[in-house]
Amino acid sequence: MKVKITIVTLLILLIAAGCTYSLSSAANDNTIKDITAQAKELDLVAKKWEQKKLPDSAFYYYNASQIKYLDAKDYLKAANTLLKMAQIQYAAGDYPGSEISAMKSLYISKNFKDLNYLLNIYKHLGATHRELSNNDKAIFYYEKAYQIEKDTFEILKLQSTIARVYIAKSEYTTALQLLNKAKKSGAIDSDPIEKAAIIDRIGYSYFKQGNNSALKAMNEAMEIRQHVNDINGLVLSYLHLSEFYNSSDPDNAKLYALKAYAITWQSSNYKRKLRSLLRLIAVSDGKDADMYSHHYAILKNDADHNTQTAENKFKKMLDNAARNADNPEDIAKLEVSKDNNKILTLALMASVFSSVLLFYQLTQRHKKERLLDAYAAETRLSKKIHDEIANELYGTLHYIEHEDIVSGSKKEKLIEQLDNIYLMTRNISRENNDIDTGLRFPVQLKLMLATYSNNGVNVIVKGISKINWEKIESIKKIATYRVLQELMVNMDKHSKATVVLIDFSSEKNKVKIIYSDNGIGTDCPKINLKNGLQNVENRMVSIGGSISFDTKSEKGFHLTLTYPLPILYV
Amino acid sequence: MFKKILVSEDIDSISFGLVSILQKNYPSEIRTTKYCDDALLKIKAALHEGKPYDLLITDLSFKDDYRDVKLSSGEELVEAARSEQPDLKIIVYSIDDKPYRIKNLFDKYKINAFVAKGRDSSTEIIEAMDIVHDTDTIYTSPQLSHIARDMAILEIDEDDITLLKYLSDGLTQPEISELLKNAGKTSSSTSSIEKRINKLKIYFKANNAIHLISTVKDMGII
Repeated sequence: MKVKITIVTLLILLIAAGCTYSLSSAANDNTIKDITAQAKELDLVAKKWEQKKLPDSAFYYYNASQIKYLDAKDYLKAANTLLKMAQIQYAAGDYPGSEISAMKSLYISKNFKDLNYLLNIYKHLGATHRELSNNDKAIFYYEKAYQIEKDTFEILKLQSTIARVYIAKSEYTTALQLLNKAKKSGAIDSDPIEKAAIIDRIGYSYFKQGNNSALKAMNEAMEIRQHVNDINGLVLSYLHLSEFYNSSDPDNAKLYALKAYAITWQSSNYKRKLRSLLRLIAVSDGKDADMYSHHYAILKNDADHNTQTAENKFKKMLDNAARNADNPEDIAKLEVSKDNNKILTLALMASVFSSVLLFYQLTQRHKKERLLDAYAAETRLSKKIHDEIANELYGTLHYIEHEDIVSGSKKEKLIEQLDNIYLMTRNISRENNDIDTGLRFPVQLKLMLATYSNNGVNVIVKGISKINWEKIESIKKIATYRVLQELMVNMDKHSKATVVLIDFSSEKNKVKIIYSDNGIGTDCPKINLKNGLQNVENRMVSIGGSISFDTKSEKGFHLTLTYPLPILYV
Repeated sequence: MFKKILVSEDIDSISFGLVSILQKNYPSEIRTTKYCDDALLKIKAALHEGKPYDLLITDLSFKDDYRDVKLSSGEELVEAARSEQPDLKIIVYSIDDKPYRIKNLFDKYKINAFVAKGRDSSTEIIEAMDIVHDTDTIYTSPQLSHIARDMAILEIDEDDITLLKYLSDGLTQPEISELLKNAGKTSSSTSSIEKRINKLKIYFKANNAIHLISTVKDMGII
């Protein structure tokens, strides 16, 4: 119940938090001044969400703000806001969506001239196209940015980035020209990460051209990266070195590939992880290659899924906004309610989850009660048989034996028959007596099994004490005891076995009990199930367990009982 | 011989039968009761008067009726009586023959004898009384005597299975000894392996090592 209360409190808090985050009333005046004010307000809300690291919500508000800025004919602000949206999409891995937003922004920018804006949008489009592997377009936009850029360090970065695209296009000579220019720049020593990137690219291009200086440059880059602990850079260094050693030194190639893959776990970059795996697959063989291929498939699937989700998410938001564009005043309200919706959805999910949990617990408890009822009824009946019928029979037997009601051989016969009935009732009560489910359960179980050991049969037990019986519910202990008793009775009556082994073991979440004997066995376990074993199956099913017959071996009778260990609620 | 005997049994016919046998054999003062609570009261009263009972014969199971009882089973009566009068001899007389329950009666409640109700119980109860009176040894009906002896529980463990696997792989005892030594097993000497094999031969009713392996293979153990 405590859990339930905390969940409810949480829901109330969530809803309350959602409501307080609504906007102040949206003005209805259509004057440009008011619209600009609204746009600014939305812009501010968006920035707040962005600071809170909630890019999805920020995206909503930037979009609403962008539309208002356009209405107010503030093109610079509109274009910059669209660029922000594009950057959010880029960060989420939605490159096609990012390109569209950026292109919209660029289209609006025809109405003004702002070099700073242009620099940013070109760089962004260059990066987006690089991610989309549109190398020529990437170079096109990067070149445009390059022409405007004034900052020497930024120029150097652009040279290096453009060179990177040329390397991707396998145009190493052009790449080297740019890289060497960048290396000579005085700004290079201000940033070791960028410096290492340039040297690594030089080394890699040399390697591709067969230049002897390749290894020296690549090692130099690696050392710088190790020194400043540049994880992302190191992955590339290792990958390049692995490629370098590919044919000359396969062991080294594999070593570097492994190093690259290992280090990718320190960041959440899917692309680098996938690239490292591809490298590993290339240098591995046999089982290793299979394993890495498997990893690759799983990771690729995840990555694709993430990208797809991101794309769909932003597209949906834009579609919804466009549908409401006829009614621009409502947009602000709509967006706010959307965030409330989000919180409501969360709340709904939480309440659904808690009720499912509650339902599960209730049904489990109900099931438990039913089983315990059945067990109680069994015990009560057996006590009745024991106390009343067996005792009365014994009393009668006793009486006839000592009084002269009947005489001679008739008396002997009567006593014998009564004795048989008495033994039968006693057996019923014995088979259905109460079971100690406490600490002495394993001892009791062992003794029960041992009673079936006699001159004809050896009952061997294995692993009883290896099971943590204390952790197992009483119902399951009772079922275990009864089922094994049933099997022993069956064995005693039908199997003609001389050796029986009961093997107890527990696996992850299951208790496993294997029964095997060396008796006559059975051709068709189904026939057997119809008789005594039906009870065994019923009992196992009632505790969520199962029974399976091993029909493979020709001799004897073998079956496996499994049932789950308790689920622990955290 | 026992001078004062208390019989605690709720079925009249059994109680009468028992009392008539006892009277036939011993000139004792015999009291009967149908409730465990009453039995304990009688024991306490007798102690108080300075004429304590020297034998209690009790059933284990008592029928529930209109009376609210404190002691509802023979075990509870035995336990209470023991703490009240530690030197009291106790014979349990029951149709229950669950080994666990009987073993528990001897181990935990320190009863002196267990007689199973059956055709031969009249003679058995006399036997039990004689033994319990004259000696400190315990008595159990012959049909249940295997329980009183430490019941042979045949248990094997994972090491036995490993040994059987090695044997079936055709390894010799010195080779197995070497392997077990390397695995850090304490009982790796050839003589302890020999002992283990002999134990397994007895357990699996095998006449020799080959027979043992074929039996465990048939049973799907290895």
